[in-house]
Amino acid sequence: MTWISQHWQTLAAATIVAVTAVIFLIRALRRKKSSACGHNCGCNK
Amino acid sequence: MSTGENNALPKVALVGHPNVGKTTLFNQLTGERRKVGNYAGVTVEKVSATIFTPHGHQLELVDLPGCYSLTPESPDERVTRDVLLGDFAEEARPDLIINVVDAASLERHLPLTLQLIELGLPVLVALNQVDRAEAKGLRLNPQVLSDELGVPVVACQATSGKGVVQLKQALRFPLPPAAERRWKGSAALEHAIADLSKKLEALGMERPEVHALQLLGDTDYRVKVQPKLPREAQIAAREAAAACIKENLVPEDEIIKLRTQTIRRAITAAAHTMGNEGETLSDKIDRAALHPIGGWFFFAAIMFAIFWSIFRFAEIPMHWVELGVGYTKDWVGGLLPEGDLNSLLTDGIIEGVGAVVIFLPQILLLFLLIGLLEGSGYMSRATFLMDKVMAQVGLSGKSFLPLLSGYACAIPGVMATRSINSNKQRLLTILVLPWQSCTARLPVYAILIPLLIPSVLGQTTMMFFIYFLGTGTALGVAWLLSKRIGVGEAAPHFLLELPPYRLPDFSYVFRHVLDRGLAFLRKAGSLILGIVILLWALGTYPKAPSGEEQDQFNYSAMGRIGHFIEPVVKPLGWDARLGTATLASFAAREVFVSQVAVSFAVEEDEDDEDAFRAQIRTAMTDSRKPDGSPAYPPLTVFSVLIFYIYALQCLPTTAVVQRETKSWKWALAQLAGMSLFAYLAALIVYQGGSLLGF
Ligand SMILES: Nc1nc2c(ncn2[C@@H]2O[C@H](COP(=O)(O)OP(=O)(O)O)[C@@H](O)[C@H]2O)c(=O)[nH]1
Repeated sequence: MTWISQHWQTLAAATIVAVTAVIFLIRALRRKKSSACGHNCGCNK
Repeated sequence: MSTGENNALPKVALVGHPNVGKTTLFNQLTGERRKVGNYAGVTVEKVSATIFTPHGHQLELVDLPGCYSLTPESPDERVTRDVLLGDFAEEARPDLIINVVDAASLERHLPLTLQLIELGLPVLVALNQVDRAEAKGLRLNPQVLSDELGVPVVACQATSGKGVVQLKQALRFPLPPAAERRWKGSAALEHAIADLSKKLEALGMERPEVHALQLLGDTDYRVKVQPKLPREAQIAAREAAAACIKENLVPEDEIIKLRTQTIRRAITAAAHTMGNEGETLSDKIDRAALHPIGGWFFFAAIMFAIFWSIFRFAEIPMHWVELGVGYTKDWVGGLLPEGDLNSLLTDGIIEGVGAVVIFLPQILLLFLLIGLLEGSGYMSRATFLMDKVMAQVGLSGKSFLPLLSGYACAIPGVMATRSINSNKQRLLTILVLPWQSCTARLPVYAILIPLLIPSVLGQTTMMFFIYFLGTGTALGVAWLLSKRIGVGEAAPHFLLELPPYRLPDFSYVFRHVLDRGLAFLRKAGSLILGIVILLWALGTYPKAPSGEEQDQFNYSAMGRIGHFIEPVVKPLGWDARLGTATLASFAAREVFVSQVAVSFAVEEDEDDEDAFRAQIRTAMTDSRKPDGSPAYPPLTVFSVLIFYIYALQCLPTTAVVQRETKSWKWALAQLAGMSLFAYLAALIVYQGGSLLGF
């Protein structure tokens, strides 16, 4: 019983980590493409 | 298209008394480009230049000879009058007059202003030498002056270029409408003016009303030979004047009297001297709050109160957050059996996000206080006082409060930089702000400093040194960077730009506080949550073979990286344990303590922090290198200390910097730059110390 619940937790935790990593990756990639608002265009106020 | 033919361009003329700063202003507006020629037929120099409005329109700017009034005493002044009246055949009448007046002696300058207004041309008043007026204790309100005169008024200081931008902006098209006479004479006078205008019109003269007024108001213009004026006009004017005098009305005296009344009214409304009647409550408060010496005490007291509140007041709700985080952790931990998910939720997410959310009370309190200061009007005074001081290192007066709150936590400090107007100065403030020694560093110092110095006095001195070093470096680097990124020297503020004191708009302040608090929580719930999860993963995977809990960290990616970077930290005098603890604490500095505790197998004792720290210190002192020498000699400890003073080990700060600058580039550059700085400083300390035999 305990083993199953531990195993289930391992999977769940790993899934959360994986999803987080994927979100970070996607956002990092997307940001590269849409860099319309560049450096000091004054829109950072 | 005209090919540089200046006659075709709209013409703007600078008019004012000699020595009022016309030339200086001309140079500011033109960038010192000028064309010097002569007015046709006279030996009077004509200075002009072509300039562009902010919207790219071309203009001809002419610096007319200085004059005290439109009743000329010299050939120079005559040129000015004739050009303005449009009687100079070879010289087009200007389309706009910029009347430069001396703010310090309005009574002397406004008579000319009224005469210019009566010319029926658009007039713009450049209220120059405001700095001198304020130094004399004169308080001016350009808006009221503008209402009184019926023309736009721009406050400026030609010598520093202040107000020049606003002046240029006022030059945009369409030009302001023609100014209108500000006084109304007696029925007899008005009748005489109207009557003479009609006669002049019948003579075929242009601008009959303007000429009529000039003829009635100026005896010389009426009687002496005027090459640019038809004799018939003078004859008609003399008849009109004679008719007036018969009715006991001397037109020029009457006109001067009316002008003087108008000026007196305008000055009473728009200017007053400190300490005199007409002084508002605001001025009375300012006499104390901006007193050359007392003002600084006032400032220091308010800043101290803010500082004290974000340190001490915030402690209470921060304790609640801490308790809340603890309860949530226990509760969630109790719901699930031991396992990865349990560990991720409690040790990872709740602990990690909780460590950031704990700063929420400080943020709310700081923004509440800032809101109250801003709403009451004192913030502008504080900025006014600090501007000159902070300008020494290229920062703005508004950088002071963010830097001060940086002593509590860099996050609210970075968020508070929003009020800084100049983008460059704001960026600069954000970049150096994390060098202010924040409270999160204190647990680390609490471990390290007693290892170096046993005496309490020595420890206190050391703390002072740490704060001094952090702030000194922040200001020094700001100064160096400001040279590089070219933060122009901002002109000091005028007192007249200070808003009057008033009761803050509480609903606005609370909405603002709520807004900032929510923004912070959103960040904590998104980016910071993500970072926390990934950090947990780095400390958890890959897993140690079961049964070797103690070694889990060494197995993990973070532990491996720690070992991997041992050669890198070795020149700092550190071993792998310090390396990994430091690496782990890049998430948040406090992690250093728990990490060192784990690596020495010291059990954390929640109830007795002092005993816990003492245990860690004993473990560190007793620790030996393979050759039997102490693993952590004072020089090593000192090098760690220096590293913690300088490194930006706080990913939440980086996340907030990214949010505030809207730029990962700057956020990461700051992280990398400060870490490198910390590394080099620790390196120099350790290697230098070793050479010196410490
Ligand atoms: N304190 C102060 N001095 C000024 C200002 N504008 C001009 N001056 C000084 O006043 C003097 C006369 O200036 P100038 O431009 O030659 O006056 P102009 O005769 O009207 O052309 C110079 O010494 C300037 O430096 C100002 O805004 N503040």
